[in-house]
Formats: sequence, structure tokens, C-alpha cells
Amino acid sequence: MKVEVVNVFNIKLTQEYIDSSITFVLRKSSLATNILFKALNESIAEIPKDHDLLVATGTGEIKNKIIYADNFKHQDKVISPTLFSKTLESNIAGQLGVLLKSNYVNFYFNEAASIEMALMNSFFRIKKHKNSIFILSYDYLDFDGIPEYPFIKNSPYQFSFGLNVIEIKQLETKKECIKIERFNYNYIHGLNLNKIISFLKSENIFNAFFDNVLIANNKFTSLNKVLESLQISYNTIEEYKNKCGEYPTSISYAIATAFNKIKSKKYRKILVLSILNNNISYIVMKS
Amino acid sequence: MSNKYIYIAGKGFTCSIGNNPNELIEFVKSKSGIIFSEEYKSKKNDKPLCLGEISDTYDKFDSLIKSTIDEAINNEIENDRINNYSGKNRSALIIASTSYATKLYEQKVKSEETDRIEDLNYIHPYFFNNLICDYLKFSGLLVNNQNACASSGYSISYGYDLLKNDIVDRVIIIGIDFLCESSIYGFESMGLLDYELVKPYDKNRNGTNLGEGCGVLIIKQYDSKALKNSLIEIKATEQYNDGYHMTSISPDSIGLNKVINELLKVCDSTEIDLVVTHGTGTSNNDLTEGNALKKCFKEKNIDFTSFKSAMAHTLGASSILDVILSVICMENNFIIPTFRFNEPIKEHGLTPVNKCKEKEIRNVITLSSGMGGYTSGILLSK
Repeated sequence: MKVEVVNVFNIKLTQEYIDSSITFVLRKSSLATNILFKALNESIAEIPKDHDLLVATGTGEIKNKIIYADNFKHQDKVISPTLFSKTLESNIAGQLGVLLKSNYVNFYFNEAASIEMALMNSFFRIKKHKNSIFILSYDYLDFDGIPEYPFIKNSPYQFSFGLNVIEIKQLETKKECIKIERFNYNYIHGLNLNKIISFLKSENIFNAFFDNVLIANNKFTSLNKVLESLQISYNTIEEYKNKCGEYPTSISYAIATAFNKIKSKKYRKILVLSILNNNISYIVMKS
Repeated sequence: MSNKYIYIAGKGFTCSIGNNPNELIEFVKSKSGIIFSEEYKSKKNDKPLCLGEISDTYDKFDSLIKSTIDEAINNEIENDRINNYSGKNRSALIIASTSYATKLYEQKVKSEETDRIEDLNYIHPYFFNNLICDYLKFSGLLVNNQNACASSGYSISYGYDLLKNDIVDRVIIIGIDFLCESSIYGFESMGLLDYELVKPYDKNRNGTNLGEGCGVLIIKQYDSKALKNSLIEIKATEQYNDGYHMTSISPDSIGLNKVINELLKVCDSTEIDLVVTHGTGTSNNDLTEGNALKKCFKEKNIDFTSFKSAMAHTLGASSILDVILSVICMENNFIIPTFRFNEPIKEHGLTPVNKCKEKEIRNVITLSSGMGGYTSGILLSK
């Protein structure tokens, strides 16, 4: 199936922005919800009625969960319903759905492939309901006091709050637009070089023409060998690990970047590739 | 979109009313699986809480999950029984939960085994994903669904779409939730727990009882010839978000009306033999859901029940367990009753099936709702 990427937004958030979002919407909302809603309000001119909202994250409400879990070290502490509510990841999407009047909301929370899961879901939804789909991906970690948290310690990235919005809808054939030509993703048990190559070959990435390759995530040290095997010219690769500090929002950041590059007519066909913790995904975008 | 049919090819379950389909009917004829817990006491009044418990430790439950997965896979309808199985052999694994392995973290905190920050990983889905994937040595399309108490309903729907769109040939769906302090005392803090045994759809209902459980479904796509195997078909799925409130569904039941009406476009209301409701026993849910049933089924006196009164509310696992128990009801032409019902709710006056009932069950709708406005419905057909 082919879909059109209507628009993408990459929202860079400063600490002041985050601070000013704390009381923006609802006192009981999580900080993530407040920031997301504020950013959406300020960034998207119009959210159509009957839209679908798919929210993808790798970090969820981890900070609230840590605070909440910490309460169990102090058995006498009465648990507050507000704090409990803030630990429920699905509430982030639910709250946004309430605020934006979405008629379908789904939420994906996975360390690696949450955006791909949302993208797959969006294709099903478009086929069935022909709605506009907003994929909202965010990652938020506040590191105060938890610098040793494994996601931070083991990551090469600079963490912060990252937010990307991708609006997609069904392709209107005669219109000049930016398409997601195809995409797929896989969890591969015991991921290794041969298995990566085998997957990408089976997906016809082998020897395909791309005039730009964006590596959204790469924790696989032999990536060059993968690209050599696939005969993809990798002098076009742009490493994003230091540019987009948000993990794993970097995939949606790469989609946004590919969108803008194709829109500016700098490139015609771009491969977005991600290899992270046994997960591999690719997205082919073209004009 | 494929015109083929989606069938349940394998199932396994573990919950407070057992894990054996052959013994389940006899069990529910005499009792429910909810007990006054020795492990968990109310933080408000120190009384034992009513819970649908399976095991007291994470390790025991972990081994039960694995045996449940094995049960589903061992009983999976073999490929050669179905002529038109495409044989591409690409699988998807969908995992739905609300707490993942939080119980393990809490256990370690309590036993003072840990101050290690690494143990916080237990509260992240990736720890749990890897656990299941390692056990199954899984490669394929992995999906996590988190839609609160409707999580596994959304997962079944996602699996259905994957098959209908020919993305994969086989989907394993695992819905799972452990009883842990985070969930229990979180629900208590919100005033959602009944300190007595749960009474869904009763005028004097006072909240829900939480439980734990695991349900595993394997679904596949076949052509119509497979009908001769008398498999249960997933005929349609529907979801809607009512966008009303964070912790309750809309009192005018917009989401549920939409979901039920969409399913009734596929199967006429006169052909629905049973509705398995979410029926949590909370004030909001049973009133709203009952209103939706009344509105959508109009004059038809529909048979409906809530399995929560038998096995408690298993949160992320509840939708998939509802589907699995519905399949067992269909296979046995038996309705698991709603326990402890005495008097209908004044506003809608509906009475659930509250005694064991035998009847031919051809088509079943199962409903689930979750915090955040999530609503899901699944239509099963013989």
C-alpha cells in the first residue's frame, strides 16, 4: 500500500519550554501530555475532525514509574491516585485523544520499534477508514537523580525531550507528494550480520537504488559490512546519533528529515534504516 | 484486503479459575476463583483484599506463563490440516500488558535484594519482550499494545489486521498481567476496589476485584474450506476512543455504541447469542455498558454475562481471557454466569445470565474498555 506523508514536524524543545508546559493543560496531566499538547497546539494549524492518533514512545512515563515504584520502599506511604494515573502509559495517548477529540487512539511503547508499530497500524486504519492519521512520537527522560539508569548509561545519545509528528493519509494519485513506498520491520532473535543481510535481501533492499540513506539507529557495529553486502553506496549515509538526541524518536526524526530532503528536491528516494536491540526496520520514501 | 477468514488455531490460558478447558465448566458450576487474599491487605482498612490470585511469587507465575504459551503452541491446529495455508511462515508476536514485570521489581525491593538502578528495567516492556522472545526463540514482527484494560482486545484486532492484510501468516497474541502492589493500591487509591466479592451489573456493586492471568491465542488465516474443522472464527473487530475522560468512559456510551453497532453490521443482532461484557463491577462501567447494550440491541433480550465475577479483573489480560473463555463457552454450548447478581441497576434494568445456562452459542461479542477512553469489541463466530 502507498500512502502520502502530508506533513512532518520536528519540534525542538528547550528546558524553558518544558518548564512552561508544566501547568499548561490539566493539573493532573502528566508532564509529557502537557508538553505534547502544547507543542501540537502551537505547531499544527488544523487537526481535522475524525482523525486517528497513534502515539509511539520508547520511554513512556518511566520517570513517574520510578517515583511510584520508589514509594514501595516506604510501605507506610499512601499512594496518591494522581501519581498512579500518571504512571499509566496508555493515559498519555488517552489524554491527548480527549484533548484533541481523536476518534481512534492507539499507543505503542517499546524500546526500539514503537514508531514502526504505529506506522503499520496507520496503514490498516487508512485502508479501513480513510482517515487522516497523526503519528506522534516522543521520548522524554528527566535525568535528575537517575544518571545511572541503563537507558542512559548504555546509550551513545544525548537524551532530552524529543517530539515528532507525522501526518499521513491515503495517496491521491495525481498529486505530487511524498510517499512511503514501502516499509517493514522485524525482531530477530540472535541478531547477527547474516541475519540482517538475509532480512534486507528478502525485502528487496539488495542492490536497490537510493540516493540517500539515513541511519536512524545503529547499535550494530558492522553496519558498513551490511551496506557493502547490499551494494548500497554508503558515502551517502548520514549518522544521526549525535544530531537527533532522542532515542528512539530518532526514527521519526529520520522520517521527518527524509521528508524535508525530498520536498526540497535534493533527493528522490531515501532509505531510512534502523538496527537496534534485535530490531531491524527500513522505510523507503520517495517523491 | 484479503477475503480469507481468520480463525483461532490455538489457545492457552491461566487464571484464577484454572488452566484446563476440560475442567473449567465444572469449576464455574460450583464456585468462582476470587478469594480473600492472605498476601495483600487494604491500605485503608487493613482487611484482606478480594483478588483472583494464581501464585505468590513472580517465578511461579513466570513458569505458568511459559506453560500457557506451550499449551497454545502444542495444541495449535497443524498446517497440514488446512490446505490453503500459504506457508510463508512469517509470524507476529503481540504482547499486551499493563504492569509487565513490575511484580519482580517490587519483590526485589521488598526483600531488600536491590538498590541497583538496573532493576528498574523490570518495569519497562523491553525486559518482558526479551523474556518471551528468548523463550520462544522468536524472530518476526513484534508488537506491544498498551491500551490499559483493553490492551489485549486491541492486540487481537492488530493481529486480525496483520492477517487480513497478508503481512504475516500466523499471529501469537499474549495478554498478561501480574498482581502487583502498583496496580492493586493504585486502583484502591482511586476508589475502584470492592472490599467484598465483586458483583457486576448489580445495583449494589461497589467496585472491582483485581486478578492475574495469562491468555495466549494463535490466530491464522484460512480459506472457507477450513470451516469444516469447526474452528471459531474472529469475524470482525472494532475499536473506538470516546475521548471523554481519563479514568471513565462516556456516560452516554458513545464509544461502546459505535463499537457494537459496527460489529452488528457484520452479524445481525438477532444472531448474537451472547455478549461477554467488560462488566468490572465499577459504578461507571456497568451503567455505561448496560446503556450501550440496551441502545444497540433495542428490544432484543440479549443474553450477557461478565467473567470478572468468576476470575476477577485481570487488566491487560482481561480481553484475551474473555475471548478464550468465550471460545470454551461456544465449544460447550454453555454460558458462564455472572456470580453474585441480585438486583438490576435502576437506570437500565438489565439482568445478566446469573445461573449456569446451556444453549447453542453461534455468535459472541466480547467487549472491553480501558482508562484513557479505549473501547474494543470482537465478534466470534462458530
